[in-house]
Amino acid sequence: MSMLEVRDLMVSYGDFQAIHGLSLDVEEGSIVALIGANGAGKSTIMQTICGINKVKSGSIHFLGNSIGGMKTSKIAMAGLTLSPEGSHCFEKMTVQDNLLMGAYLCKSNQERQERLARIYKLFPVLEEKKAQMSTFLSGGQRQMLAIGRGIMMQPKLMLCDEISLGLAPVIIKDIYAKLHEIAAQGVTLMIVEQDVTRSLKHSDYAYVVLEGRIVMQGKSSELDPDEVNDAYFGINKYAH
Amino acid sequence: MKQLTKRSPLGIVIAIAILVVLCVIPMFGSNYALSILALIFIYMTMGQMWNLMGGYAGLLSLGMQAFIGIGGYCLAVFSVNYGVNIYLAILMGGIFSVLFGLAVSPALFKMTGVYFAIGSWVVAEALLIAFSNWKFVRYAQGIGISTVYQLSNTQIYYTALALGVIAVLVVLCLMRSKTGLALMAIRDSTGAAEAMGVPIYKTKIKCYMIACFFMGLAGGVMYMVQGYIVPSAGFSIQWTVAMTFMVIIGGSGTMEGPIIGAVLYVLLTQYLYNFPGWSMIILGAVAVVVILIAPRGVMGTLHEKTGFEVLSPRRSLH
Amino acid sequence: MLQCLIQGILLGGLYAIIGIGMSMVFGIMGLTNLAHGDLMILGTYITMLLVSSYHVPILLAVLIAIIVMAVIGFLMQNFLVNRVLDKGAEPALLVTFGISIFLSNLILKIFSADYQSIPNSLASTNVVSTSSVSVSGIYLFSFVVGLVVIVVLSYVMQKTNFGRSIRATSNDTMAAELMGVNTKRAYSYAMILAMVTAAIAGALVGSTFTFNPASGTSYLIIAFGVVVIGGMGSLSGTLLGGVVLGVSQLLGGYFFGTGVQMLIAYIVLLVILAVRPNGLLASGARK
Repeated sequence: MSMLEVRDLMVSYGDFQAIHGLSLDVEEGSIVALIGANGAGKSTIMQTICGINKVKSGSIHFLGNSIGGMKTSKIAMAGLTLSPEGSHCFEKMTVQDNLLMGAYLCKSNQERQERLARIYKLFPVLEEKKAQMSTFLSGGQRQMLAIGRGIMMQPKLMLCDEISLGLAPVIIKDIYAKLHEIAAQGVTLMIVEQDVTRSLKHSDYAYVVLEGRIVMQGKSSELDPDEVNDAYFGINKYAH
Repeated sequence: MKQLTKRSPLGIVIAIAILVVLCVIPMFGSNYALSILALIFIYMTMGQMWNLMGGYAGLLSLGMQAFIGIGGYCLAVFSVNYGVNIYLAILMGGIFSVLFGLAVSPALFKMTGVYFAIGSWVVAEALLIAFSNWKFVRYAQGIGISTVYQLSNTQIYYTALALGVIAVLVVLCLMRSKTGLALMAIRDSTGAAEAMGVPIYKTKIKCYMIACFFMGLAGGVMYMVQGYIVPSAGFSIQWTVAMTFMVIIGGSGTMEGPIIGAVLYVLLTQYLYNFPGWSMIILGAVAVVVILIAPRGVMGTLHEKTGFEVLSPRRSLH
Repeated sequence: MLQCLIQGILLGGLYAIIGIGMSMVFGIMGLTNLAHGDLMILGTYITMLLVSSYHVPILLAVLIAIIVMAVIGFLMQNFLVNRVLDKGAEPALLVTFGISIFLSNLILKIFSADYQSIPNSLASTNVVSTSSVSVSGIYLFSFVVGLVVIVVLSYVMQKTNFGRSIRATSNDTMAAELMGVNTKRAYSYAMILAMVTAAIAGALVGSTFTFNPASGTSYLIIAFGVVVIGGMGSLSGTLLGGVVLGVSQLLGGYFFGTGVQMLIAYIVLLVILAVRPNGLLASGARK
């Protein structure tokens, strides 16, 4: 049984149907990529899994339990969290407070401090800026903060939405390196990416999303980048 | 979505018929009915003006009672102390209201949203205290408006009727004019409106001046009915309670809303006189429930569901 | 005049506690609670009822009032406010206005319009009594309580997990939920805290001044003034706001007569609102 099982998911915004009967699996310990252009529905899928959007029909199972329709905070308690598109750092709080929020569900202060120390080792720049308001961080640093905050929860599955958006290539490289470190520590990841090459390079399994549907999937190492491109843009044999 | 705009000949005929009926009622209506109707027209005026500011221009004010007090005191002081004709005194109430409104506008219009709402309330409270300590208006004792004692119910009725009808016509014409379009644009999206060249400040001030003027007139006519004015009543928040109740229940941002609201308000408070002390409790509870269940009021919800409008502020397409 | 200055500063402490609840609710939920003054007076009446009619010792009475107000706050939040928060700023404001009207008239119906007070020993004792200055015990006590409340609340907000979650909720509800915070419940906690401070403020107000059902409105304006001058959402700002208003009021009364002292305070408030609508120490709070 997969860690995350999505079956025949339908999501709509009012009258607009965004997701059409989509199914996907995320195996424990893997890195799964959701590839697609702007507006393909990737963020919608992520936010629905986390309970931010309502499920119109279909099912979502996490670790065997149905989470479709559950409140976001309850899903977080189950060990599933999201680093949202645009980071969504707590702007009026310091870097350290942002990270400590990640450990909100943690029972003891000591445990919280221990986790904090580990995050600081992973992202030294965050320790440097720990007393600063999160608004003063650069885009890349804010992204690291969002990821770090998510990891503070010690989630079983973390969804990462568009973490490379607007960042310089050298920063992106750094962030992905850290993601692999995180995965090595036992966190399952699902990442959303617009860049085909990058997503195939850093994931074990990939899904290509077009207009709310999965049009292609497979082991990242076995997928042909050109075919993925076609699927991404909905051209050639993927046109309809 | 169907729409009975006022341009339809049937609509105009009905409107004229209603007007005729209202004009001849004094011939066969009881004194009590006349006084109730007069109250309805006065409250309707207040409601229309509050709606103009809050429902159309997006300037939610909790301080319009300031102008009711000014209007009432102008009537009292000018007609009693200086022997000015009653109607002229009421007119001066309107003028002084505009003047006062303009005087505080530079400060008031720097505030937005909730600051504006409460700021205007503070201004009204300040007036209340000022008048309570002012020898010229006899402090908190107030003034008995002796000049209105000999007015007949019919005279008062026609005054109120005239006020109400003119108020509705003014708002209707305003909303159909260029200014009205500008107002609705500002209400819906101030930034976009500004980007399209709408003079935000001038439009708001224009609307504010009209509201102040008619609110002052309404205050004068109201005190024509009441006959005695004290600061704690003239500048009381109760007027705003009435205005907000009318507009909430009737429907903000619609023309018919304040009319229905006024009818409901007057009838409800008259009925609740039988249960002293309960009227405001019930009013408050009803207002809260209506906002939670039907936030657009009677007319607003009706309009939303069926597109039904009697007095449409929309420009006709033909 | 020194007397007025000192008394004004101490009065500021009391005013600060009155405003804190309103500041919290606005800072966290973006809601301006127009019923805040009336809710506080409700607390005052509860305390008075317990002390005068049931002869409950005053501290116990205040404790009971705090509990009652906390419950009322929770109910109000869950059944009324939470429902209206997503409808927009205007409906929310009008709902609290409706609650204010409902409450003040309900209190009027139950207790009559007579002025009342909470009998206590501090009001009649002068703590300091020199030839130029005498300080009433209750004023000093209120100031100290105000200071303590602000310090405790600030600590809770800044340093505890609970306080952090409330701040996070006010910043970004979606992100807070993703961290496992039940934001609707966080709002309830914030409202409960606000009502607790209102109950404390109510007891102090009732012990210092006479009050009647209509007092809620005057205290609402004071609460609003305190919050606005100090900056919406700033806890330490409310102390500054309170002092500014307290001093304005008493100095105004000194120079122009006690009849118009509130008028002077209102004018000061209006000037500040017009010049610096975000408060003297704006904390970058929400508009």
